[in-house]
Amino acid sequence: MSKPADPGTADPALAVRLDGITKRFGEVVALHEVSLQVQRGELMTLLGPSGCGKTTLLNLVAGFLVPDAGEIAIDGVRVTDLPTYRREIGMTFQNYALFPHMSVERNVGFGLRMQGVPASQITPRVARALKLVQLVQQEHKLPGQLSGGQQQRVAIARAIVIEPPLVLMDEPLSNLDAKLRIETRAEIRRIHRELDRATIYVTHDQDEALSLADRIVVMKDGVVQQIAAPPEVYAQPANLEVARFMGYRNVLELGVDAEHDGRVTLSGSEIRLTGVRKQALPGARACVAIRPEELVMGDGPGGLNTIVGRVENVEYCGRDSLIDIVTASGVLLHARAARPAALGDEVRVHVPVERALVYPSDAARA
Amino acid sequence: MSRSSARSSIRATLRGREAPVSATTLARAPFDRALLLVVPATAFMLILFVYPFLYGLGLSFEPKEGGALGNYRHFFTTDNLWPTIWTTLRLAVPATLINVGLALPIAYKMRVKTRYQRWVTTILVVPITLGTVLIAEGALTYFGPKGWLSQTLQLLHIYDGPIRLTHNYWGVLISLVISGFPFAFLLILSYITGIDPVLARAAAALGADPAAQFRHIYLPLLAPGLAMCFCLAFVQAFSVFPSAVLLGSPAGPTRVISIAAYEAAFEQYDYSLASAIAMIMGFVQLVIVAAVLGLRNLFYRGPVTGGKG
Amino acid sequence: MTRLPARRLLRLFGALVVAAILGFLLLPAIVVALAAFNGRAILSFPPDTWSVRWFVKALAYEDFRAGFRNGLIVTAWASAIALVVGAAFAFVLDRYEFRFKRTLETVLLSPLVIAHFTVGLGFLILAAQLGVARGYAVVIVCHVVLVLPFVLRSVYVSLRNLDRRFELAAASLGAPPGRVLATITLPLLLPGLVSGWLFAAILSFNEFTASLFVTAQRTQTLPVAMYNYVREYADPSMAAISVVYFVATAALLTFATVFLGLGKVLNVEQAR
Repeated sequence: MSKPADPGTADPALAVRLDGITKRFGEVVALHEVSLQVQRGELMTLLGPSGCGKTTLLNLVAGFLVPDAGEIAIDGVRVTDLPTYRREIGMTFQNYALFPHMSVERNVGFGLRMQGVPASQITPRVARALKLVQLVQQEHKLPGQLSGGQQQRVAIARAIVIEPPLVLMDEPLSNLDAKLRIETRAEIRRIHRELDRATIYVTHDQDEALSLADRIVVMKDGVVQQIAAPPEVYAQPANLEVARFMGYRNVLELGVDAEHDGRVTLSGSEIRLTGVRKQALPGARACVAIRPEELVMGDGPGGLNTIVGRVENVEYCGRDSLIDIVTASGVLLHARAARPAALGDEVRVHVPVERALVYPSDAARA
Repeated sequence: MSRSSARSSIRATLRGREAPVSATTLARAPFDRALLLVVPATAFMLILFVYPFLYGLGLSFEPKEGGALGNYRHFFTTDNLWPTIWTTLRLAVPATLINVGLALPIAYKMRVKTRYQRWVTTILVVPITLGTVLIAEGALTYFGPKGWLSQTLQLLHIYDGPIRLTHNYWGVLISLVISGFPFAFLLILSYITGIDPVLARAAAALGADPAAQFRHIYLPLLAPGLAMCFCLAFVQAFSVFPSAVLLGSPAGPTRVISIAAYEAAFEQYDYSLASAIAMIMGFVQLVIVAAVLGLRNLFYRGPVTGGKG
Repeated sequence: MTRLPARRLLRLFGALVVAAILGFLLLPAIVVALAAFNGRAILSFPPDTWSVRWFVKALAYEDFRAGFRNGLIVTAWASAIALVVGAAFAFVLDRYEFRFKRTLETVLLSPLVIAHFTVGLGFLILAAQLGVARGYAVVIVCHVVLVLPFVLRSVYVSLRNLDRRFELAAASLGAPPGRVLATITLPLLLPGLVSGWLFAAILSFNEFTASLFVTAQRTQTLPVAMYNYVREYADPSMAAISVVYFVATAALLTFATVFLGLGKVLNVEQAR
């Protein structure tokens, strides 16, 4: 069973505490010894590709699933065995899950009715919640009569009106179109700031995570890869998985020449690079991860970290362009440039040493 | 779609080439030929369905004696005829209530699709295969005065007296429950599994315990389906015939309306009266079904998912 | 992982109730099965001798054999016709819009709410009036009318769940309409078609009340033959034939439920 890391000492600053959570579905291990702490008032996103376990983790905190090992505490109270309806949470679902037979008003007031709040208090609280999500004059409509964005707001109002210590959001924006997504994202940010409640937010979209989170938990294959604030996850991914997921599209596997003081020199395929070591490098080869926007046009200082190649493809993106470059030895690189280059042009690009991140090579992954 | 485009697309089809491309022809081209075949079949089927009914209706107004309403007058004034309505209702309504009432909680428990659910569902459906006569035979053997239930109870010294569960009201009721339950169960199960389970999860996250989840989420969304199920089960039960003969006492307490019609047709050779009785039977069914469906319209009738997605 | 004991108890109780109901429903079948193997003609509990002589007698009994044959003939024809007609109507209802569509649908589904009795009587009277002999045709037509709603519903639900885009994709790849129907539509519809057909066949084979009216001595189906037998004799050969009959249909039904999801057939309102 579990080795609980002392869930008894209720840390009053912690809204949620997960210790050694493991969850299996038959042969598949969905979560492997995940431990996590969410501070009061913090918005934490669980970020990762599908199948990484983020939704499973959310469902465990909500109580829809029971962990095979580990403990969960909400607001200092051990809830691992507690059924969902006894946990103090507010939750929104990917498809909103609005009760189709109840009006907006009755949907939002449902949780209050379950708590036994007298009707006289329910009406003003519901009205306040709807005002907070900026959805007025719709109280008597049925969910089927609302647009997707409106349904989303009702779902949020319903979750927060009960004033739970913890809010859970399961990919709330994935069913909205691009423009609505950005608008609703700002709404969620605003609401979170006003209510200041701990929130766990699941998404597979890194832009959402970067813009909303106080801290991001990057997950893959049921294991936590990195927990850090957005700037750090963006600029200093902890391992190659996180780097790949966060948009480091250039990953070159090269031979390690020398290593000194955290700086690594690598070469291979007629490329020489110097980069910063992010993890211990056990093997003779290593991977260098570079963001396309950090592959800058022109030579590096003293020719350092310069790569020469031919333009194979140009994608115009408005304020910049995505350029695919192929070196003489056939290595494909992605760069972003302010000015589009012409197909077939020879270009020279370089990357600053601090922005070439070196990770151990995994033969199976390359 | 226009006749000419239909013709041209059919010709193209017969020649093995793609029909002229337009949104409507592309969507409908595969079935143009079928449509042509269906038209005479439609006419034929409509005749098969509607004509017997209309003919029977007409026939009921042509009694052997008396005016157009002679049969109906005869029915409501004859002492062994008009009480059959009540007798049948006395059997059909409780049987339906039991069937629907039992099926609902069991189907609710079975709403999660597990292997257990599939097997139980299969077994619960078995009585459909039994057929009324087999059920009657089995019931007679088991519940009869010298049947196995009686002998078991005597063996266990629980009850020594005779058991009166056959050749009376109870035998027919038991048989109606056994034969009607599978339909009610399957129907309700299909309605319940049609309700998005995430709605129950959302209710739980808002503090609703399982009882509250059923009361506030499932029940209101099921109400229309339950009404439909009640109607179908009732119609089945109201049409009871073989059980009433084999397991009841057709002369008296379980003289159901179908027996009256049967006698009119086969013993008195009065097809006109038989039709009239069948019409009355249908009418009573219609009244009850209309009443229940009318009640159902007071409830929510829209989709049972939780929004986009 | 510990479960609250209250939950466990409730689960156990629920399972017991379900088991009790299952037992009650299966009681006639079990009883009849046991009685069929009874060595003696009188029922005693438990049976003190066992024998298969009733099976031998039942299977040799001409009325039962004839009933079985007739039942097969009627069922085969009725279910096949109902399948073709029902599928055709399901297509029409799903893919076309026309003025009396609602009416057509109601008429086709009406046998669900009309007593079998009434249908049987109606056809009996009609046959008598038209001077048509009470042969197989009348019985088959009657059965078709009775089982058509089930086939219609089953195929219709399958059609609703069929993503039309598969057909469009095939057409865009150059498949002529007949080809699309044969290689895309029908295979995808197969579960709905087969389960509808199977259900129709089982209902038809089991059908008693209407058959009692429209069959004559030489066309009587097995349920009618059993009914006539049990009204006169009380020996276990009835039980024996019931067992044979029950095993055959139960096997078919299990097959249908496990492999084809029979529950969908009765999905009268919702198309999922």
